[in-house]
Amino acid sequence: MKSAILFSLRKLFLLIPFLIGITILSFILGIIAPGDPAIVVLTMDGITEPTTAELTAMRHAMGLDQPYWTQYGKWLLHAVSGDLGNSYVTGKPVLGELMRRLPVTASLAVCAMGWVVVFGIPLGIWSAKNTNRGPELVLRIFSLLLISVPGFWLAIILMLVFTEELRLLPSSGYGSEVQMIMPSFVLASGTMASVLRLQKTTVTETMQKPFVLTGQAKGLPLNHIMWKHVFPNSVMPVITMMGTFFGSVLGGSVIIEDLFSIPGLGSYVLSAIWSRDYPVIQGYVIVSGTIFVVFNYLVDLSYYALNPSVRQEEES
Amino acid sequence: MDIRIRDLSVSFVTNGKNLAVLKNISLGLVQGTVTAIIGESGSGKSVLGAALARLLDPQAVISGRILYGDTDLLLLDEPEMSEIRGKSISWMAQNPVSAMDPLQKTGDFVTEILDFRKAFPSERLQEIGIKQLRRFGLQNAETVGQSYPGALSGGMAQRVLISAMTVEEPEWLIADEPTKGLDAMGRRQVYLNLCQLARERRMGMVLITHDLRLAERLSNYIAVMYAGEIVEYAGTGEFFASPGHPYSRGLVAAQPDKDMKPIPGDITDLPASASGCSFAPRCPSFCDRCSEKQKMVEKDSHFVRCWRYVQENGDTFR
Repeated sequence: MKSAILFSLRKLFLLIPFLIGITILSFILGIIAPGDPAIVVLTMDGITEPTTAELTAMRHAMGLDQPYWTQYGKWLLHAVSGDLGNSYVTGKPVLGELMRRLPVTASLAVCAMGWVVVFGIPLGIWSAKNTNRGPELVLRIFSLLLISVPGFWLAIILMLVFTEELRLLPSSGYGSEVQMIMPSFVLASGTMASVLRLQKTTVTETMQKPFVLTGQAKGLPLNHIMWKHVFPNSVMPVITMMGTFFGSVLGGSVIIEDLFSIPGLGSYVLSAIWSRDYPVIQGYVIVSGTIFVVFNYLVDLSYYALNPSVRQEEES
Repeated sequence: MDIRIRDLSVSFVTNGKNLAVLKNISLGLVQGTVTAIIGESGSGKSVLGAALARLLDPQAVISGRILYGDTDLLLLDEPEMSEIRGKSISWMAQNPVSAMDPLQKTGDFVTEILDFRKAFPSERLQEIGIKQLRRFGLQNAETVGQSYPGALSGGMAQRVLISAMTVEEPEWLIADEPTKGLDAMGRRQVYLNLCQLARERRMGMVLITHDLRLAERLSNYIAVMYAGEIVEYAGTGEFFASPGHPYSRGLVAAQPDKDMKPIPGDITDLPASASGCSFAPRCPSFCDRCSEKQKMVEKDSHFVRCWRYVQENGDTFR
């Protein structure tokens, strides 16, 4: 137990450089962004024409006349205390706006994860056991298609089939379960197919391991060996893949949210990009980057829980 | 119950070619005795061992019979075979570390089958596992039982594997190269463990090994395999006193404590002719008749498959 806490703390400590990197990138985005924030603030109402004196005063008030590293320090201090600045467009605090939309994107990501776990993993195991049979070949071609086809194309095809023709699923909006089916499937499709293929490969490899034969020699039936030994040994690379996926869903969801009119982080940042609302883009970079890093951290922790060789390495 | 192998042939089809690994093997294994199967790599001895527990690849083409008592093991379905494996006939893999699930504690590995068959209440399993590990000379059995295979030394892993494969007190243990890759200490410990099973518990054993010294000390009978055939079978004492087949003589002479004289050539120098003796291309006492099909001849329970042996011993054969 003690080593588990030490392990999680040590891994947490290693996240700090990544988080600092994210904030630096996010800050640089504000610096290289065209336009003078002081002008933006002063002309927000669209009527006022600021004088040079007003501008200089505003620049000084906003700290823009100070060196970059001082600006960064101040900005970081604010960011850490939850102040990511205000949106140029609405004037509301960025963090609040992001947090309001985060649950929407998160539930989309969780639903997408559901597709991956419910279909990718079991079908991968099934494929390994039935490899080169007719239905498995069909599934193999289908999964290759899902990997190759771009998400927006799949989204349009699904809308045509399920909304226009069959009139089964709504093509837009957020709030009910049915509205999540199509967008989450499109978001999951590539990863679902990749997980299926990866799971198939790892199961096939693990089934060749001598411990499978030893299990049989003990008198255990193959089904028991599959569940108790082959599956746990084959699932670890798949967990890594899914951890990375869950983090990157935030990036991938931008187009999907826009297509299906889902009011999540993705569609919000897309509109911020159109209106050059840099504080929002900066905030988005920080929030999505942090979530990505946190998920990789959780994957590391799951390794500790699942793999005794990682544990033993830690204890020695 | 005795195991009688009758005309067992095993072949694998690879790239459309039929590769015969075992050719018409017939061998009797007597209950409570140890039969060592010796021969160099590629002779088919491991395949023979796996065949006895029906653990060959599903792609293997198998013919003949393996009679366990009156039951032909080759006719049983998987569930019936699962009832025999571990309980009556146990098979021990070559490399003990890879024979274990890296995610399973060794204590659970030892008692897993008891748990599966609900042979004991689950709260007693840990105690049984520790007792079983201790029986095979693992002093700190509690610690060993809590560790994972990756943390074990080769010798310890081999003892854990022996513990696991004999936890149901099977009548037969098929041990595939139990001393492979072990140092002198480890080999000695494995020898003592197997001795204990053979002598004290009268466990029947098929000992598949390169280690002629182990075979000499542990076994009651020796079967020599070459290129998928048994070329000699005799009591162990008799065999080492007077090996009959030129290949067996070569094996004995190749031992470090004898002349350490290698057998020239390689087992892959197989002749194209399926009719003659497969050892003929490497045989130091090759004669004209060696290109004909030779059969197993017996003299005082010493079986040899060699024309030269017939010539040397005159007309005393049945």
